[in-house]
Amino acid sequence: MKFLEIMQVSKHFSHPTKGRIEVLDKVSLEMRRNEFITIIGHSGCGKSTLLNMVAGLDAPSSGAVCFKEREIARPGPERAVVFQNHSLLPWRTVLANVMLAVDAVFPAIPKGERLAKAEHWLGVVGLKEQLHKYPHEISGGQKQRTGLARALAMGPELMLFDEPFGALDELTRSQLQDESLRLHGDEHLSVFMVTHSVDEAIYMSDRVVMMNNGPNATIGRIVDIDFPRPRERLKVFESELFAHYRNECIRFLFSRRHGAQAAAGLLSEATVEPVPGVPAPA
Amino acid sequence: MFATVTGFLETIGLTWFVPPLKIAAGIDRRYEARRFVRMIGLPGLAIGLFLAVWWALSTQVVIKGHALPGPREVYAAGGRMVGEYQAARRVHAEWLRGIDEQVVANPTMSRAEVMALMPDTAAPTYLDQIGVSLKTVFTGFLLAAITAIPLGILCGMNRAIFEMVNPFIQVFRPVSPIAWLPIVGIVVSAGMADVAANSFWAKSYVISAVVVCLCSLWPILINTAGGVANVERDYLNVARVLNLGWVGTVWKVVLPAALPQIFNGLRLSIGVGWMVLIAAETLSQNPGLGKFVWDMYQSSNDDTLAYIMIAVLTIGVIGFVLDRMMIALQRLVSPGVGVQVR
Repeated sequence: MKFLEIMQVSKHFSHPTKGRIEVLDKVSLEMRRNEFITIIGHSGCGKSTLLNMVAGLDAPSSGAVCFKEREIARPGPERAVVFQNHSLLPWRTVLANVMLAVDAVFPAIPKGERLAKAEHWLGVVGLKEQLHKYPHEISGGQKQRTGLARALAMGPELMLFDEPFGALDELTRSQLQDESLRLHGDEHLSVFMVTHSVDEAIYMSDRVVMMNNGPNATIGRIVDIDFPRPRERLKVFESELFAHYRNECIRFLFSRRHGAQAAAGLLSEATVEPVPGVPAPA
Repeated sequence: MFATVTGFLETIGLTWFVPPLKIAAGIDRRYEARRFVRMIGLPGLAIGLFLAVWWALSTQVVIKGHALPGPREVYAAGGRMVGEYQAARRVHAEWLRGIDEQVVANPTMSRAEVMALMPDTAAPTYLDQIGVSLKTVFTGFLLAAITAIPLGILCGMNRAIFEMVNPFIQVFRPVSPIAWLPIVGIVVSAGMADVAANSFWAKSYVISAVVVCLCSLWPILINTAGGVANVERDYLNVARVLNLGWVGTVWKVVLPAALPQIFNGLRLSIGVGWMVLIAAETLSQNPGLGKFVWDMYQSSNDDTLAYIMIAVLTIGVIGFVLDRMMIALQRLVSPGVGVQVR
């Protein structure tokens, strides 16, 4: 059975002054179970829109997204989302935020077991000590961990990561990347991630899917990443293969960006903007 | 334990009591002393200045042969009112004893029948009038909250409903209580033609409460609708991913998220309601503070101005306490959400 299939999906929005905006144009992609797939592209290329359609939070204008050969019509806990800005409910403690998910998804099992479930997942992400704190009392990394625990607690078949580490500092970010990779291995997760960090995409994924610039964005290129799992950060980052992948990605993202914008007359050839995750050329 | 107490006082907005407590306990003395000066010293100074100016004016100004009562005269009048109240309590106790005696003397009659034969003819005391005013304002306020919160939630959740309700909000919100009163008076009087004047549901009470409701409805409605409409999209997306359903989403996500703003509306509304009530009472003759002020105005004597000033102060202080109560409630129900006390 096919796990996730995005078939000829287009999306357009109506805007009061700009009229119809074509975001995605006939995007097709397939994902296998247990795969870690990353969508990368410049802001505004519609990568979050694509994720929202897989989540069921948004509907395609044409085409279809199928999960286990069924068209996705609405959101569901089997496709859990880890949101960009954690979106924890601020009036609920860490534990209560996770309990919200457990109560909603497993109403049939006894209260005690539900509580144990929530505590288990918070333990897995290293928040055993923070159960009764409110979101405003914990750090950004801990909030994102709580968001991760909430998603895991839904017992999802597919995890959707919407730039979950984007707002974190470099060190916390690396830590959470490593832990997410560990979880991907231990819990046999399937992860569909959206990011704008090239390094993150290469380090974490099995395949990096690069989008063209919008409007009318499509998938430009897919790079298969052949590092064995479990991955070790230093080994991966210091390898020549990593440099090779990175060059490949950057070349694509750069040429597309310049191509599109020079054509529109927006950017002169002299100005080179830094690519996220890459030091600016000296 | 100590920290819990001071923390609770801070939470519910009784911040004034914290510095003296902490200074007495020797915690953060310098900081708390500065806070004490800022929160109690400066307002105290201003009140002192106000009293001084008032006193100076009262020695100069004469209105229609009566001197403008100064702070001391008003204080004395307050003392007399307390005396009158105590006397009235004694009369009331006397009356109750009389009833008891008659009940014993006439075993064939019920207590209610005896009371109907020997009605309490004493005029209501000032405290009774305050009680009536509070009862009336809370009735109107609760009526408004019960109608406006659900309607506000519907408006906030559903754009179409909002567009339908909005014209009514825009047109009826600016209407003064004085304009509502005649309509409400006529409708209520017609509807309550058979209700006895001395029952709990006195006509003047119902009229005043309904006018309070009509005027304090709008802040609750607008704030509830605004709070619900502005619930963060991400929270709603969480609810959608969890398939919480309409009721679950409203109950577990929308309502808690909008609660601070709903309470903002409630706070504004009880302020409006209290102001409206005094106007409504003067016109509908509901035996509360508004009627007291009106009666004093009608019966001009040496004490009139002093009594009215006491009423004004009472109205102000009660309004202030009501506002504080709402802030305390708001903070208790939504911890972690800062409310500016101004």
